[in-house]
Amino acid sequence: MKLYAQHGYGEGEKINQGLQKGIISGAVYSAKDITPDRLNNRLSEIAASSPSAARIFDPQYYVSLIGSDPNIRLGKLEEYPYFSIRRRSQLESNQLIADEIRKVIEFQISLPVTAIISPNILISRSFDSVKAVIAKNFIRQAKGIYEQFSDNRPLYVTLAVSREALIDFTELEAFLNDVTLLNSPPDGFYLLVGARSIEARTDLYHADIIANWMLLNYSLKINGYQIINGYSDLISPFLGAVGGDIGCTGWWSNLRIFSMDRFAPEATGGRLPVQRYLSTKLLNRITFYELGALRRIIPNVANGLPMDEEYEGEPERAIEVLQSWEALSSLLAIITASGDSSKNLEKCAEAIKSAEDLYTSIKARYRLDPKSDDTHLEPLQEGMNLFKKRAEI
Amino acid sequence: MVSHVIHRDIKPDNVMKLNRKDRSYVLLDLGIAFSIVDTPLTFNASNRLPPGTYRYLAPEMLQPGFRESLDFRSDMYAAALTVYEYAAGQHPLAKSKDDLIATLSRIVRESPKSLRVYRDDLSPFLIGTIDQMLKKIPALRPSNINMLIGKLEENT
Repeated sequence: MKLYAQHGYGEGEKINQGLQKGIISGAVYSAKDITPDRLNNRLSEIAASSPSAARIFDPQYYVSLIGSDPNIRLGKLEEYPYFSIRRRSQLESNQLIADEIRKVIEFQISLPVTAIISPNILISRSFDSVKAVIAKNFIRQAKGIYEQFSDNRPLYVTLAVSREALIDFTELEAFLNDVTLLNSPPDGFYLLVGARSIEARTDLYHADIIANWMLLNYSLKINGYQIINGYSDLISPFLGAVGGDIGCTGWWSNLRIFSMDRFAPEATGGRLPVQRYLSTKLLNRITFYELGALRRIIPNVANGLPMDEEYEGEPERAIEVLQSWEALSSLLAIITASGDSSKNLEKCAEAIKSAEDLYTSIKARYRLDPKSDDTHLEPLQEGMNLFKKRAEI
Repeated sequence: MVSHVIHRDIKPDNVMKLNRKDRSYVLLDLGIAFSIVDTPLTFNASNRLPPGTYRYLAPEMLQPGFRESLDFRSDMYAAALTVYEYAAGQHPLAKSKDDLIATLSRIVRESPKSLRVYRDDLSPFLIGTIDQMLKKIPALRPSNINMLIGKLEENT
């Protein structure tokens, strides 16, 4: 599994440096955070400086249905020619869906992207809903419309699902049975799983969500699709273990969890969060000062990777994301090395067990910040077990 | 291309070997085959099961709402079951002492043992493919026939 940068506000040199260091393989640009002209320039620059890097653009069409909210923050999205605010009832028309897909694809055709992302809405409550039917129409029509452009880049269709919808296994099963049987299949899916808020980490660190997110990857891969998991961050290794091709993560917390919260008004007056260190051994991030303290008593908490040197004291903010990408890439390489789901899952189980043991050692000698603790391990373990049961592995 | 015809009774008795290089086997008896787009499904009047041989029914055919979503992956399941039985010398779920209900219950609830248990001399890819085609959830069976044939030719 490869790792892409999930682009957002404040790119600076982060993506360039990540590509130069070889710790990310591409980037997914976000319409909200870059103007169309600047996007074109950035993609061209990356194509020139890192020709092998994947360059993808998320059109963020899923915001269309919430665009009429008076408090919405659309950012640069309004400057994109395909973007309009829509009501659900309008999208019950197949013709309008076809027109919307055409506009989004047409915009991307002239961009130096390496793959095209077809739009979709967010399935917000249930797979057994009007929105799910609309989403299936977006999926079904995409390839046929794309073929009219005679372009040979791969086509990925957005599949954006809220955790409320994903949590129901029976409905997911019926939905999967439909979307794995398409007359005109795309090359792959750009998969987004939405939490209620970017602060609600437990929304996604929930056994059913992890199991069903893994099942989506597993099923789509068996049926020959490529899968890009947007905003998958530290869940990526578990998705890669069962077939996911790409995981993505960015530099702010709202680029590590997908939520429509990104388009809500920002709370003002907050302090910048303390820089964190992604420990592959803990499958979690800890603060830089926790790392400093733990290194002296439990050195194994550090990854032993080149970016560790930058954490001797308080690291610069730009370093944090590079360390995160380096650690996650390394973890992905370890977990998904065999290419065999059963063996990869064994690696996942080993990683969880090692993290549990390490946390046990830490607890005896040091008190961690609540965000750095081990509450993520149980849902990961249970989610993996549930997935294995549902996938009969 | 998605097929609109479901055979519904693939089993060893309905597969005949030919002495032709270009066509080694032929599938017989399309007596209860139907087109998804034309023909309504019927029940067997005697036991209310869908028509077919119950030992080879795919798990989804035993679900109450199966008529809404039945597709060719049920045939893929039965084809894999047929190959499994041929290779292993036994049906992976039906037992000789079972009555109808016990067998149907196994079809819905039990995962078959991997074909590897009986035939570890076969290619791991072939074994993996047969095991995968026997999954309970149709979406977990490979549905892209061309891709499947290509991979089988490449790996066996």
